[in-house]
Amino acid sequence: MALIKTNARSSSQLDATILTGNLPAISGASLTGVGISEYDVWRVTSNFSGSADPIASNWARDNTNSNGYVFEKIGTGMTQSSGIWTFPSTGYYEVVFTQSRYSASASADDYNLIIRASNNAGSGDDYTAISEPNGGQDGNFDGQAIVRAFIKVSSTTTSKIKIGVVNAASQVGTQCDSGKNMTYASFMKIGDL
Amino acid sequence: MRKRPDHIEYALMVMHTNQWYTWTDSSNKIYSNLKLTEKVGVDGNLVDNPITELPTESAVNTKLTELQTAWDSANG
Repeated sequence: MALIKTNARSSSQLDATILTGNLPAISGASLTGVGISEYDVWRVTSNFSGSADPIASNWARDNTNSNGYVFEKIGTGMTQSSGIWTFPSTGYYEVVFTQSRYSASASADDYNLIIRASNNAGSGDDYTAISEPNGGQDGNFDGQAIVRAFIKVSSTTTSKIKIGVVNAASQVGTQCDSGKNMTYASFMKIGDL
Repeated sequence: MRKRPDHIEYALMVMHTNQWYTWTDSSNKIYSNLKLTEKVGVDGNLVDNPITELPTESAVNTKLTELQTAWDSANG
C-alpha cells in the first residue's frame, strides 16, 4: 500500500520525495497515450535493378501470417500513392528502409538509399536522409542496406516522404518478395508534436 | 554466395533498369501475369515508363537460361 503524506503539494501534483511504500497496481486499461500508437510495415513485391527514385510501384503492406505470427499494423497505418507516402497523424516518426541487394554482376558501383521528405505535398525536398552502402569487394556483394530517417510530420496533408534507390548501376539489383520482407520500409510514430 | 537464378523475375530485372514491370497478381508471378508499369521514379520524380513493350516469353526464358548458365559456370 502506498503511503502519501498529507503534505503532498496538490491533488494533481505528487511530490516523489515524500512518496513511500509500494505503489498500487494500475490497470493497463486505465492508461491512455502510452506505448506505440502507430507502426506499419510495407514491402516491395517485385525485383528491380538500378535506380528507382522514388520506388513508385509494387508496395504492399506486410501480410505475414504464419503459424500464428500475424502482422497487424498498429493504429491507422500509412498510405501511399505512386511512391508518395502519407502519414496517419502529425508527430515525429522513425522511418527505416531496408534493401536486400542482389548483385547481378561483379561490377556494381556504390550507390545510395534515400528518404526524401517534403512539407510541400511531395514536391521538392525539404530534407533527405541518405545512406551509402558499399559495393563490397569487387562489387560482388549480396546483403542488406539500410537508411533511417526521423521525420517531423507537421501536416497529414502536406508532409510527405518518398523512398528510393539512387545512383545505382544496372548491376545493383534490389531483391523483393511478395511473401516476405526482403526489401521493406517500417514506420513508427515516436512522439507527438 | 548468390543464389542460382531460379525465376523469370531474375531475368526481368536485368533486361531493363528501374521498376518497368509489375504483376497483375504479385502472389502468382508467371509470364501471363506480367505487365508494364505506367510510371517509374527518376531523380525524385514520377515519369512515364520508357519501356513500352513487354519482352516475349521466349526472350525472358532465354535470358533466365543465360543467367543460370553463367551462374553454373561461376560456381562449378
